Amino acid sequence: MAMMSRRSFLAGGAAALGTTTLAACGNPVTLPESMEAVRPNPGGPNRGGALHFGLSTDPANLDPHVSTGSASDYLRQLAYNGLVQYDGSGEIVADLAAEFGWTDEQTYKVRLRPDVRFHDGSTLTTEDVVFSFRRMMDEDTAATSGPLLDQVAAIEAVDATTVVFTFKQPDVAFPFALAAPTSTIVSRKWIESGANTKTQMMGTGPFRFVERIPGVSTTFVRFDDYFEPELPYLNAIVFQPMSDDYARVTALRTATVDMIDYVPATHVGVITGNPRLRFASDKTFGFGFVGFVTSWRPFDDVRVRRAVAMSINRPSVLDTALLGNGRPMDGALMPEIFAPYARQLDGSMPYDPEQAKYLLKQAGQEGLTLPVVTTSSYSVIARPTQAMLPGLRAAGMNVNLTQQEWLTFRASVAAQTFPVHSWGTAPKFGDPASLRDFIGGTGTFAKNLDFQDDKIDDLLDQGRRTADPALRNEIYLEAEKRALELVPMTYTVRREQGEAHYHYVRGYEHPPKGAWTATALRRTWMEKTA
Amino acid sequence: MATAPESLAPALPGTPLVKGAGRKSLLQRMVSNRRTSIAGAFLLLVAVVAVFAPLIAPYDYRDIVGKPLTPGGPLGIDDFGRDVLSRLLIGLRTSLGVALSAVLVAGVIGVVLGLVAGYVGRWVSTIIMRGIDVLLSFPPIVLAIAVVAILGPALVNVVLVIGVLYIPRFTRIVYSQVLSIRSMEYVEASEIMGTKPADILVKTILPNVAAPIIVQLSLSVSFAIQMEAGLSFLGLGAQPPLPSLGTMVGAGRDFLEVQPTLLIYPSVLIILVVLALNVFGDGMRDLLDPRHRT
Amino acid sequence: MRRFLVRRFTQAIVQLLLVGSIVFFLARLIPGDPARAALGDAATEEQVALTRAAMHLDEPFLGQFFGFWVRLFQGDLGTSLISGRAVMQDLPARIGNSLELVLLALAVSLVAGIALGRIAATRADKPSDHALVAGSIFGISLPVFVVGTLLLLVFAVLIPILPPRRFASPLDDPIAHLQILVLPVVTLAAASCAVVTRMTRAAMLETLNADYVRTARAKGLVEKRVIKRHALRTAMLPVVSMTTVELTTLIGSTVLVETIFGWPGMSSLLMNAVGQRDYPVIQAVVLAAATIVILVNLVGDLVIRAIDPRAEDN
Repeated sequence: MAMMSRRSFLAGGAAALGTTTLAACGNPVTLPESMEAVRPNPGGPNRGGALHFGLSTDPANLDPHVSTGSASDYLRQLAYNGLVQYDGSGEIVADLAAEFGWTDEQTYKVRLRPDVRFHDGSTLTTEDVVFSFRRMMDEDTAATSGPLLDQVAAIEAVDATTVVFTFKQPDVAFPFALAAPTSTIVSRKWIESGANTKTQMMGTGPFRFVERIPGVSTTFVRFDDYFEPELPYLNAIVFQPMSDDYARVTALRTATVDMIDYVPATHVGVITGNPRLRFASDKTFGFGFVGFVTSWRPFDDVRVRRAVAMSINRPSVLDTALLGNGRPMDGALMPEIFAPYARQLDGSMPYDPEQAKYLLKQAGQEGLTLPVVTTSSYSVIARPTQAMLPGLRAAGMNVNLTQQEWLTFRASVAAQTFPVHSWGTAPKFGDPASLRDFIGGTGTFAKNLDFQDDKIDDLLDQGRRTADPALRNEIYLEAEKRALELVPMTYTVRREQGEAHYHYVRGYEHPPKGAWTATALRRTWMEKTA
Repeated sequence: MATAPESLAPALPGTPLVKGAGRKSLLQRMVSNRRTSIAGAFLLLVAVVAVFAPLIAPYDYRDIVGKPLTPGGPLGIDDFGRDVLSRLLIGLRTSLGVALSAVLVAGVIGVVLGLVAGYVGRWVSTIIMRGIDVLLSFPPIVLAIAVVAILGPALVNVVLVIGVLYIPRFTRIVYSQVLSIRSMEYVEASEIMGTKPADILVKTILPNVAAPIIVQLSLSVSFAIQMEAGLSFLGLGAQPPLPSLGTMVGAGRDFLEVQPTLLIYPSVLIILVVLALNVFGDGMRDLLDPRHRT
Repeated sequence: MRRFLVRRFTQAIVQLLLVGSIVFFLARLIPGDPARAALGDAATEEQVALTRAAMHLDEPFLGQFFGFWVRLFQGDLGTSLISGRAVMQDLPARIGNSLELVLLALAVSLVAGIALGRIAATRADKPSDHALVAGSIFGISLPVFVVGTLLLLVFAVLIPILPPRRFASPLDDPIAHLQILVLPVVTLAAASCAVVTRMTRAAMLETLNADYVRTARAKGLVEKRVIKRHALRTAMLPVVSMTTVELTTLIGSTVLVETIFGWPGMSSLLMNAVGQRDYPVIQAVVLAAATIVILVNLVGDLVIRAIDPRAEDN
């Protein structure tokens, strides 16, 4: 497979690369110096150069429609495009679409840009778009965007450049579904030719996938026929997996890499104290939560779930696990920047071990032992979990903590191997409609909890159909209140999450609001090399 | 993580070659050797501290006792607001516990295999000793990582895998000793007199191989501590919140510039314990080695 | 001599066969179904069935066992469950990188260790000897990951004179390549060097006290020549056997060192596979490491035999 990619890569006509580029099988790709060189461009972004990026995980599955975490989004959004994307201020703007929008309450129309080419030279057609969305909606794909598309009744190509989505009922959240990093457009021909989508990437994106060497590097080079003029500025982006926090930060500080993701809370001080580095972050999206399998005795008893929730000393978790880099979460799940009601719920889940003890006693579960699973791969998840333990013990509970590697952990959670899990994630997009993922009966996270509540589902459905902002605010407030009563999961802390890079890396913006997206990397350029 | 070869038996300078010292008791000779006795006393202290760690520790190792990463308490407060001294004590207990149990597993199995191979001989010894060769073909930490990964990261798995990996150390020593002792007259004599093989093994041969086994025990514990620390450092050993010295070193790296003692204390403790075990093992070898005793 | 060769080679082959079999059974140690364990409980039955087929678990047991060997002789070490790549695609280069690190560390520790050991032995019981002996026992007691972490902090972050730059291929940029190697090699060599020092010292002391050396001395040979002619050469024998032992140790320790310094050796392959339960890759790395050890021991024994024909096998 590597041979094939190498051949197609060379055949792809990167003349600048010459023939000496790729090191022996299994060794990290060494880029020729001509590729690393940055060409000054007065009056505009410099051209050329290769960005070396220390990535927190080694995304093993490169499928365009299946996300295994934010690290995989970086890769996916370089090689593939969606119809729309988030811009630097979080607004939804065009990507492959030239025009897009609702034509009526239940019809959404997208007209494609002309002359968009795939990396194999073929032209993007509406057929590819229809095929891509059908692939996402096919349950066998297990596409990350699949649940977001459940209101789509049909998708059709009406002419050579126009695609129309029709809906079962109005869906305010649909544009967010279109902009999601996993709603990418693939080549029908390529997929139907039996390409291995897990190990290869072939899209319309600004960078072409060269090779992934497990545990060592994943390399992308500039796609010369990219449809946006000028872009991309960089010649190449090389991702190096560095799952160990200390190793990742050290690699940045020694300029082994120009940029890293997931700056660990324990190193924020070291990064912000370094004048050569920039920390691009938010304290809004990423949050931690403890989920309960609500069908598993005794966690089927809401008093037990509530007791656990009230035994988590959130301010203390923030101060110890994240060294204060974040905010405690004792109310709404949605942050107030897109959920105006959020403040009204502050303080709904106080730390009260005595009350927790009382609840446990009522439920006949004094001295309960909690089997909890978490992941050792991300310190933003593992550390808060550890920091919760003293509070739980204060309420008389014992915790049996199991730490697993990320993929194993996700499998354990999905299979409900443990009754309690401690996780961290972010809302999929910047609208309370994304609550459905966590507390809606068909939500990705709610499924892990065996949680379904008719009243919440009803409210979420209403919210999705309603366009009036004031009305939506009330609906989602009700839904969150109900979730705080039923405690299928309890939220712990919002974490400060961000990337760090040298100041000579320009044009990169951390997603400011809305949703997690990595498209800013497409527009990144270098002032100079390290 | 240096694995010393079995033949690592140089006399330390300053260690008197104990010619004619055979009449003094072992303890007397040990005490008369300053280096060995200091190491021994330190190890005794460490053992006592480890056994009574939960009683000695000023706080519960899981409790928040102060502001994170501050100098409070005797040795400071760690990143989770826990008392570093208490965690060091429990960490020491964990590490020593794992290392001792592993070496005990290795010692018992290894000695029995060595005795059987040496005494029974023939195809039995061929099978056992070739098996030992095969075990020695695996770089210890590579096999340990693989096995622990497959069985799951748990202390009991670490004990088992280190235990199995260290069997050859004991089997080889006992085997060669048994071979040489067997040919001695008094063993031959008791065989002729019709003593049962098992009796000969236990009553005649075992006391004679005791000395090198004791030496090997103390050296093996020192390597087992390093191995446990290495596995824990990689996240395959003790699972939080239970500390081991290795996990404490791994966690301390993140705060190297804020509070370097979080890394330094457990590192120094590992080094001291391993050093004491090595010095003690060396000293014991000099005292017990029959070559030096004649 | 021929009898020795035949015996020694047979022994190595038997060892390889046994090691391979152990590695085969390693995957069967997994509690439950290895395919399910690899994929996690959420995988569908079809996915598990596919993986079982890929791992050849759907064949009868003996068939699995012989199939394993047949594929092994064809150079097929299996396919990664996670990335879908043939293990042979990555393994040779990774092992090569690890060996480069290990052999450099071995060379450094032998050169330094023998020199230091010689100094200690010729000054037995003098202060410099005491210092070296104390230093070497201290060196043996230093955990490799502590040394590595501290070296990385000091020389890469605080006083950045030896930055662990990006991996540079030795063909493209040999100097940068060696620069990256300095810190990991020093880390790896430290403990080994201590062991070599001790052993050289011990071996030389023994020979210096041996009868023929005393004779040579009595014959009036200058002390320096005594050391060179007799003591050092005889002391080489244990050094060779020591080399083989140290190589085994280094091949183990390199896993930790590579993890700390991000060296793309077998450790990156192994640790990645361990985290993702990628059993075929774990098996392949263990098998490769053990094969190297067996070969190293074989060569070591042959060399000893060549130096000293009287040496008994084993």
